[in-house]
Amino acid sequence: MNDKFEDILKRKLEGYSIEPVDKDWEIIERRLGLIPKKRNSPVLRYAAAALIIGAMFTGMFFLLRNDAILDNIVTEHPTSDPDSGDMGNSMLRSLLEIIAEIEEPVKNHRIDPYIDFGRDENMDFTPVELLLPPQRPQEANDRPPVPRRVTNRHNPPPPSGFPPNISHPRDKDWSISVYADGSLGGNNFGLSITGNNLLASRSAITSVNMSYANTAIVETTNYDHSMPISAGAVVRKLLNDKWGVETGISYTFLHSKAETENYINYKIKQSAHYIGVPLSVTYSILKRPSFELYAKAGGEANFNVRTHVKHEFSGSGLQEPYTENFSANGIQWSVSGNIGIMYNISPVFGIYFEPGYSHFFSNSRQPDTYWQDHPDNFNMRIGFRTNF
Amino acid sequence: MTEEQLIERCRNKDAEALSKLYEKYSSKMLGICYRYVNDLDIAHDLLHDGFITVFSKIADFRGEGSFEGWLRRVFVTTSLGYLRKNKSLKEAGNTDDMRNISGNDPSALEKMSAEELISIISSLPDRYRTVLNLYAVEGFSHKEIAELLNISEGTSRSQYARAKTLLNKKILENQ
Repeated sequence: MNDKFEDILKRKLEGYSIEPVDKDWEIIERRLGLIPKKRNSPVLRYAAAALIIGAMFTGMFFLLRNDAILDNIVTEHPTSDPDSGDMGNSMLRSLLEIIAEIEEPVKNHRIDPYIDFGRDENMDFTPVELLLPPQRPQEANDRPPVPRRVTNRHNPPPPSGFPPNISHPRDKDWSISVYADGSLGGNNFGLSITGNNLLASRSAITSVNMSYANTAIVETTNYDHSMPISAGAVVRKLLNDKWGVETGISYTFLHSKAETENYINYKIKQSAHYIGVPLSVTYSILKRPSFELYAKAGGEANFNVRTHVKHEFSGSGLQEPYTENFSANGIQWSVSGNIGIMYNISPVFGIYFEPGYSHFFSNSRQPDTYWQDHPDNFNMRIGFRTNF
Repeated sequence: MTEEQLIERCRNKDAEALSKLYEKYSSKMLGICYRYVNDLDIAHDLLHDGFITVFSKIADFRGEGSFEGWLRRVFVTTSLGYLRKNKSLKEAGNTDDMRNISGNDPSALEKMSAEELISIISSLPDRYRTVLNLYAVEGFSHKEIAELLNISEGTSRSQYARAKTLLNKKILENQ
């Protein structure tokens, strides 16, 4: 009965077929070099990344522009009769009076609104000029005097003791940074460990084994993933004194090599190039004139723009070395958390360090790189930031 | 064109011969890949890898045994390489629910179509499905399976027994 079971299974499944699609042969032709390979143009990916960044900036611009309108309300001293019944001016006056009442620090500090705090040319200081229409006599008895100048809520008067002519670099809403990034841990510095993972070209290793009938799948492969190296640029926008959001573009280079020990010696060297679009939220923990401590969390979408693999064989009767190039489909997603320390060299320029942790999600469509084999790792980012 | 001629032209990297070879065997090989990995997208990827291997190593086919058999071996090896790389061939899970299943019912198996059978087999754990495919469909011995999967021969036998039992259970549930 058991033999019949196997016979039935074999009869029904041995010939089981699925029709491939046209694209399958095109891919094989291209990999064999039978048709001229289209240059792996990353234009679409760059365009998508630029579109995302552009959309984010546009969104932030429109979101914050409305706040700026509120913050920079200017009303001219009306020449018209305040009793003229101008509804718009009356409502605006009420709104401004409410804002003025909220601005308690101004009253408490007893700051003469006419003191010139000194305009730093590098600082985008936009004091709010608020000239209220003169109060009618009966209102003067009912309401406390309203300061004639109210400052922008994003730029409150400096606390006492703070040199009035020095502005804090974080008072600027925007900053641009350039950085370099390296991962720590893993088998860096050329150390090799043994594992069963294969690199990008699975077919190459299996094809080697097929040279020897009935040979088992590769038992051990010594592989070596070099430390990924990244560089990039990010733009940060402060939403308020504490929170900010940043995005940008990055480039990462991952190099790996593997050597398999079997009946023959087979080596692979792989170089993978990624373009990434990060998105993070920052939170300022501690802010001083000379330095700042902050936390950052976010994610990144990495696109494989090119992977170059070189195959080398040693042993008689085997094929010549060959190379292959491809770009993997899909996105290599990652999430990260960092602590940042920034030292302000000048009011507009500083150097920062961001040690942190990142996790790369498993993705079988991506080449085997450091990210796939060490999805959790610590990294250190060093960069320079300028505020404007 | 005979198969020998086709193979010879493929060895000489004749593009037309390669295309004909692909047309002749691609659907069956895709079916093999799907039976092992149970994911159509990945099966397509393995189809590409397998044919790259076939075309690059076709010179090594010495005519011992059938060419289709050699092709099947390439694609089975390619599929196993993927499963191994993704650590899918770990030990299968709890098997307590199989204790009370008795015997096989070939008649129930006979009534099922290939698609229904594939659907049920795809629900088995990766290791069970792999051993079942290797032994019952491809015709490997347990010794050969043990070498391929880096397990003992005894483990291969017990895995196959469990796979068969679980398959019968699912077939009965399906009726």
